[in-house]
Amino acid sequence: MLIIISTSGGIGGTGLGGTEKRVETDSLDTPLREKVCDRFDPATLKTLAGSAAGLRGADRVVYHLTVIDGAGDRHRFDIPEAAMPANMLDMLDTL
Amino acid sequence: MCAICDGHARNPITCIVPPHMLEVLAIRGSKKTAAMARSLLDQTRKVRHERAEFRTGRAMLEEAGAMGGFVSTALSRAATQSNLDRAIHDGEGKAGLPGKLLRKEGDPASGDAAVDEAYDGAGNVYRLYFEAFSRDSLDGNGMKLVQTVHHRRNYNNAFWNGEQMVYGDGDGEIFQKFTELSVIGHEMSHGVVQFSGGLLYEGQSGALNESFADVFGALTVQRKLGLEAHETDWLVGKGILGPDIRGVALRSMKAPGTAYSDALLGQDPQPYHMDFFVNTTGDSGGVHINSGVPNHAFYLFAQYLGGKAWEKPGTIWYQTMQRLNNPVATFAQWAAQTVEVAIGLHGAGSLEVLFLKRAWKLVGLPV
Repeated sequence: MLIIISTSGGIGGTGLGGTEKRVETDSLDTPLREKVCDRFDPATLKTLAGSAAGLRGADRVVYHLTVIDGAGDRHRFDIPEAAMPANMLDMLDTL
Repeated sequence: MCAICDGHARNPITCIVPPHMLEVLAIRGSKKTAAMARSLLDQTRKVRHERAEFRTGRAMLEEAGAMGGFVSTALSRAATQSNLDRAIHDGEGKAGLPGKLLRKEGDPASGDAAVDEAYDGAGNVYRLYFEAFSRDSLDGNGMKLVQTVHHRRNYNNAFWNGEQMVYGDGDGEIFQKFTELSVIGHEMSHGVVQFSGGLLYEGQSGALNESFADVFGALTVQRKLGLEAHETDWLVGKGILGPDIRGVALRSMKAPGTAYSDALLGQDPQPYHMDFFVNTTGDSGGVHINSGVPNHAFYLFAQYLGGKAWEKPGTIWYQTMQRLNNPVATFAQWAAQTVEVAIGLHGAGSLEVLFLKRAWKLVGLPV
């Protein structure tokens, strides 16, 4: 599974800066790979993306996630940081 | 029958509330109401609302003696006693909030620069609102100022999450730590907007929300340094860009579009005039881009008037926010409200009103 991560928004309107990040799950150690595949499963991401309406706050970042699964299908999601659980954000920081 | 309120679990918002109203409730309602509104927004079912709860919420009250007028609760009861109460937490590089409490009100300096900057900065912002506008904290009711520093790892952002302020340390390349005074003032002012009836964080109303935060972030710095309008640089986020980034700040109110020009960050995209308004779906409809227009109008007005910008111009902007009662306001509606407030404070034929109208005209928003 390939995960492509980019951001927009934030206090500068420039996301978190930098270029997009690409994570090839096959290159991760087994325990981390399992966690990442579970967290970034397209069905899970779809649920998160659908729970994002009407969130309070300002200057929050939006994550743009493209997941290319084992069959080669692309799944694209725009998920506000505010809709993501803390442990998922911590995982994003380690990738 | 509505699918939401059938059976015994009657929803207090109840049926046929259009989505834009639910978005307002998500901003203005009590915690419970906001959660419910968000839940209803998530669904596509139509619901009805109870009129009284919708009309007043908890942020706006009917103004005594003014037919049909509304003011924020903070403006309706001016604060006489300071209730400054700060709590600074250490996020320890993780995303969980608020994190470990490191410094509470009255504690001595911690020795951690970000913690102490957040503590001192929040005090400066609190005092601006309390001493200049008689507002007791973000909600006008002594709300505790909770802040988290060292949020996540190499985190290039600061934000208001609806309940507290959060600051990253930056990655040291693109951004440095975000506990700069105008940034602290900016984030706290998002809280003031939320507790003043709110401005929907999308399109022009979102850009007004951003602009209000920039204006009062800049005014916090000016007031702390005792600078008059002509003496200050009108920069927001000065010094937070990384050492190799070509730029001076996040935004310039004096010259929108000139804060940075860098190979990595690109060109500062802010317009200074409606002719250059940017139509985009990104950044919630360009909220951090088109805020350049009202930012520049405030700058021009403050320059025309001269003196301390947090006094007359700041009071007009602050009272406009408290009286707007329109979470989906356009730039033109905001401009018209500032003129109405200025007329109330200074008179229709005053220099203040003349200069204010001239400032709006110069950014392409004649009133």
